[in-house]
Amino acid sequence: MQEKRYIIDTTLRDGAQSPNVILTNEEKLLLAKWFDEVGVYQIEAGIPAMGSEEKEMVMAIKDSCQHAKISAWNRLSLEDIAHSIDCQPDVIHISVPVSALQIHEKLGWDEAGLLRRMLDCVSFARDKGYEVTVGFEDASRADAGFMTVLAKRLVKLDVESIRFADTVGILTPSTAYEKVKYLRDTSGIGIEFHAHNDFGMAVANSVAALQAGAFYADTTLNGIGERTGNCDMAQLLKAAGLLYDMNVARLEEWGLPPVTFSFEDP
Amino acid sequence: MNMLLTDCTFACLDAYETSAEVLWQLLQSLSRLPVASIEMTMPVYKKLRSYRSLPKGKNYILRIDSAQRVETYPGFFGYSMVDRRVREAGNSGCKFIVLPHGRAVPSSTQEAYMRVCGFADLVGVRARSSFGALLAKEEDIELDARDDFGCATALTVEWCRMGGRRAAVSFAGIGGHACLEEVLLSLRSEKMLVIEENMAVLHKASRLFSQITRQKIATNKPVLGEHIFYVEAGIHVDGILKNPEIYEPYPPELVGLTRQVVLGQYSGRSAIAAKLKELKLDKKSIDMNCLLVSLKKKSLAQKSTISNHDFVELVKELA
Repeated sequence: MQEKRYIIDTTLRDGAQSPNVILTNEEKLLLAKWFDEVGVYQIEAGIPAMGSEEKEMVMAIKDSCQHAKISAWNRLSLEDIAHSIDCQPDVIHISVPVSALQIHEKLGWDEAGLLRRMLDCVSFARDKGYEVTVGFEDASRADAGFMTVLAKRLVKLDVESIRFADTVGILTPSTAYEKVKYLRDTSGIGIEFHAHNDFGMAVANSVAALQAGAFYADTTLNGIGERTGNCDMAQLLKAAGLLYDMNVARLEEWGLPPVTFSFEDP
Repeated sequence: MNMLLTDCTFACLDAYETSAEVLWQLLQSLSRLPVASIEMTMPVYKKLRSYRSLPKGKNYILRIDSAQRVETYPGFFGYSMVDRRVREAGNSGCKFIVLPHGRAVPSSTQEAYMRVCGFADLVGVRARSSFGALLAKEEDIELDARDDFGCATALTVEWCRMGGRRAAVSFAGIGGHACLEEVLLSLRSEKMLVIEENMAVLHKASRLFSQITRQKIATNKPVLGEHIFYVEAGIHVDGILKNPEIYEPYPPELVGLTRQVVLGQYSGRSAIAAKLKELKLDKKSIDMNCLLVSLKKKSLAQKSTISNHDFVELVKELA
């Protein structure tokens, strides 16, 4: 009997952000239904702060999925989160840049300011009764001790898991394993691993993270996503399937996804 | 010390009908990358020679089927051959013996090294114990990780991280090897390989490779894909404009590509402002919100990103 691990699919968010691919809301809804049927644990449905059409789509996805949890993606902003709450998703996901490079140069904040905002945003969503996951953006280049500090604070707010994002896709299986294991061991928080494929290692790194104790791996169909893409769902199922039960028993019954992508010139 | 990589691309091209000239141009491009040696089959070698002698300054290895071939094709840096002991044991030839000194028979074990192929199913960190055992033997072993489970590049880099010195790879992973270009960039990122060569030649190699294999390189293929440094999403454009390192693992110029902000469904204000500036359009007379909304609508309607020409038209309509 293989241990269970779970797929969190982000085709509709990180995948759709790729300039290589354009998905209409109708297509996104079809895909969400398919993910729901085959056994994907959680579907990252979209970014409500983008506007009313995106919000309607997230709500439509929530209405038409029976099994999967539906999550909405947010920047570290109360305003973003308020838009998500309008959609009543199962999970509110808040992205928190954690590397010094991202905190200082992208946000123009310092670490203390980041911690304060993170706690404000998470508390805001938790107080409304939502399950919250926090995305550690650029975790692979961040200070391990700082991430432990953040994770411990999140545990106190009943956040059960964080997303460990290899935002620029630079990890190897060993470094992914060590970093995920360290964060898990030092904070006790659950981990979702989010790979990018810049060096062609998204699948191998995701498997290594599962071996280190991550419970969830993020995927997209055909591995679409920013730059070289995210972890390809089919490839991960094949590789991780050597070791784990990925909870997609219904996949054979449902066959191929209802929407295909081509990688034509944008 | 730098890793010693063997580029096996020219050992995987027998099946493609192509002109000797294009084949030679690909060899010339790939010979400029930081690999220790380039391996080729006899048919490919004959074809290359029919056009021109091999580019100077590289170590070439010929894949042969019997030791007598060394006399037929003298002058190579080394010869590789399936290890007959392995073949006789019923294994489908998963070990090669490489004789790097141009001899048919090694005069001592130190002169040959063994290429060990396989390991495809050792996904994640599963390969550690196998690699550890191989490295403990203190023999000079070359790893040829297979890509059946999409992990060959990762296996190769892990092998190097654990102290392995030699690895066999191929361009774009042809033949099921680890991808040469991914291994190079990852080893550079891990500071295990100093790359002084200009690798912009990878871009030319992609074009020649597609011409030979008649397969397009996917636009999102790591290192080679034409669009891997294209960025559309608002939050990413914003980051890239502040400091490209925020969302790029290495500078695009390193591999002959360019960064480009493209406009579409996920564009934000930063991208629009940057595009207006790039096209020298006056920002003051434009309602940014309206422009953003109509841009997104247009992108969805035509199911593509918005070209510069279309963008200018949109701006004109709103002015």
